[in-house]
Amino acid sequence: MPVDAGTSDASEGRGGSRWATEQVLALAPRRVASARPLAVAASWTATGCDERAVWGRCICGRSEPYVVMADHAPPAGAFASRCTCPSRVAPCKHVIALMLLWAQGDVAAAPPPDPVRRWIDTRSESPAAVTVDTRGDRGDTIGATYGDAAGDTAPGTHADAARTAPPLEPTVSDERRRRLEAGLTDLERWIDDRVRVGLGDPSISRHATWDDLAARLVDAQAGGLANRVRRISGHVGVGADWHVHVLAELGVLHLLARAGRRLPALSSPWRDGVAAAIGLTVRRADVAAQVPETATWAAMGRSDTVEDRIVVRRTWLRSLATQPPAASAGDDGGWAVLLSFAAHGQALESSVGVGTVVTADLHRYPGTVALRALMGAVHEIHSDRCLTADVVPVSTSIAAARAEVGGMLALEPWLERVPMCIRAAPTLLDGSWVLTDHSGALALADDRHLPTLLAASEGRAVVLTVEWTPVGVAPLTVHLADRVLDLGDIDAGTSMAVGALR
Amino acid sequence: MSPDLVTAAVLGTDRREPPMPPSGPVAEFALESPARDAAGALVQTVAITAALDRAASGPLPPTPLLVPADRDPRPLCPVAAGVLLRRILTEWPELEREWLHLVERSGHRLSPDLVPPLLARHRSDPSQRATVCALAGPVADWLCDHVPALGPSRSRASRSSATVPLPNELAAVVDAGVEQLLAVIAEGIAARRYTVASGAVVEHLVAHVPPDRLGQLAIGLEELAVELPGHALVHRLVDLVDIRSMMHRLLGSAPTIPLEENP
Repeated sequence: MPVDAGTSDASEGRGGSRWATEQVLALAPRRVASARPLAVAASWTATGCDERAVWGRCICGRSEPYVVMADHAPPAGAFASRCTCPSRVAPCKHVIALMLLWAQGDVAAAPPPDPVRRWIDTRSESPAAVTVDTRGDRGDTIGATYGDAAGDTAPGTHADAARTAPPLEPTVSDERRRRLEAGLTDLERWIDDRVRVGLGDPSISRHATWDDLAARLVDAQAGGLANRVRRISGHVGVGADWHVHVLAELGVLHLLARAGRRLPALSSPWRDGVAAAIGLTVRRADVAAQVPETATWAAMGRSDTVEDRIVVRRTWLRSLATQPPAASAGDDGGWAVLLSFAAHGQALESSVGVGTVVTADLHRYPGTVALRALMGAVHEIHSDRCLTADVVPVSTSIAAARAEVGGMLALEPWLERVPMCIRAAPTLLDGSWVLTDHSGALALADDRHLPTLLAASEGRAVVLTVEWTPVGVAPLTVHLADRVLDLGDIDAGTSMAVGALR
Repeated sequence: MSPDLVTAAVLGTDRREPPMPPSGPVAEFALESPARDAAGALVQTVAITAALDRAASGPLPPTPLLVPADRDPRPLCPVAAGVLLRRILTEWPELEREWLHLVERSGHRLSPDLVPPLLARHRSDPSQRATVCALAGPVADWLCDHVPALGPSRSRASRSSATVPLPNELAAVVDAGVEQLLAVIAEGIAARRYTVASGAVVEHLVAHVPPDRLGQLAIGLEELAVELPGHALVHRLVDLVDIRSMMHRLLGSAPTIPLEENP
């Protein structure tokens, strides 16, 4: 499954700028499972694509094939599609299958047939046709911005890239901006209403309360916020302190809504960070066109989460050239994250496994804190290197690592996961498990990997890659003297040693 | 987040006035951009407080360490052996005992990622649990002290301890050479006595062929696989011998556990 790793030189050309598979999956996550079996060349005839459209006839066992076409690069920015199948949802599985086929590079460039040309012409003349054709489905378009929805990171303008390439900015049409502003105003009002009636009100625990808001945010094309709302709803009623956590998250949502409404007034890196968190996307091809950061990257850890039936994998990389940094605001500490996505139950991309060390080009997304990246050309795979405890760049102390994370959060308080590498021992504080060293302690987010963590540490300090989250840190990797234990693989379901010295 | 703030948010600002924002940046911000009502003021205070907490709060105070487990001087078993064990537990659980036996003979201890799953797996099997604890070393008891869910269970062993009865023709070749064993297997397969459904006895026998004969057995089974392409039982036997050979390569050879000792 394509991911942020790997650029797509072949994706450019007469066939237009090809989408990444995850972009297609995000169009309609709920129909991915039914579309996948159709995303094979054998199910299609008369396929073709150009810089504007992709088309084909889906055979799918019927005597009369469905005629499918999609406008993948509309000037107004809204994806549109058309299919002769009777489905009332859009995009239907045939559209998703065709888009997947195209994203996989299995659709050749060709001149558009008359019906496609006429449809594209109509769309170009009448932007209103967009809404008619797309038959927008509230529930599914949420995934359109999944990269940001994972909560993951703050994309950032890398210094080299900023010097030599035009700034990356999400293109926002006036119509979209109007809808977005209306959605953000609605969000602010909704948060105020929740606080007015109180978090103790029974409505807060009703699924519909949150889901309706998320759907409205999807309509406003603020998919990042919609996903965040759904994540917050998952915390309601969980744990004794859920009110505190939900309240804080509503506060962060309020910040994002306020910042989003002022988007045009913000300066570039701030605007990029806010836009990404809201759900405005930057084209992958534009990111890949930036001047890369070439370094030796170590895959320090990974975390998989399931959101709305999509599995999101974050692979945390760290530049081995980077010394453990002194904490300073905005310093990413040499960290970067690759995101990959798969429908639940499907295999996740794993070309950059935990413990892998590669010399490669990295292209960073824009933003204030430059974490999210695409991996470009891989120059060398260091198969002889293992990320053992003596090799990985460890922060000098827990306090220093927390300050480093704090610097990133000062710039983007809505970050939900930030990596750090520390040397610490698991221990108990007031009945709860924490990681501690001489400078302080960090609460564990949950006990999921506690047995392996304890077995690896035996009560002593060990080198760990962890993810900071608002509710505590989640261990991802234990770096021992002769091996690396990967705790974050959702497929394995348990921890696993993945590398060792020869 | 102050308790007063949380209480006002839980009760709702219709019923409880929000507290004044704490002095400092939160109060300054409230002065700069006054909210239109009490709910707006509370949300604003929460937002700034949350952002400040996340960015500026330090770690918890240092905490005393647990009394650590005693050190175990034995080296950890190779990573590849651990990977193999995971496959064995899924596909060939009958080989687990041999794997543990080889680790013991090789002087290794269990890699930490294997200790919790093996302790959990043998909670109600005192014999296997004792083997796992011995191979894990002092960390096993230490771990169970801190994670009671990994401790021994008093429920009855869930796994059957019945031995697999060998058919006469197989019993006759238990101690015979590989050629004879292969001939009996080939004849049984040709006569359709041994299929995947009824091949457990053959697999059981092959799982206990002495390690020094595995190479010869592998060659014979490969030839059989060529003669009987697509025969599922033959392929399973090839896989079984392959895994056993790999296990012995990784952990060093050791005498095979005799059939009668195997549960």
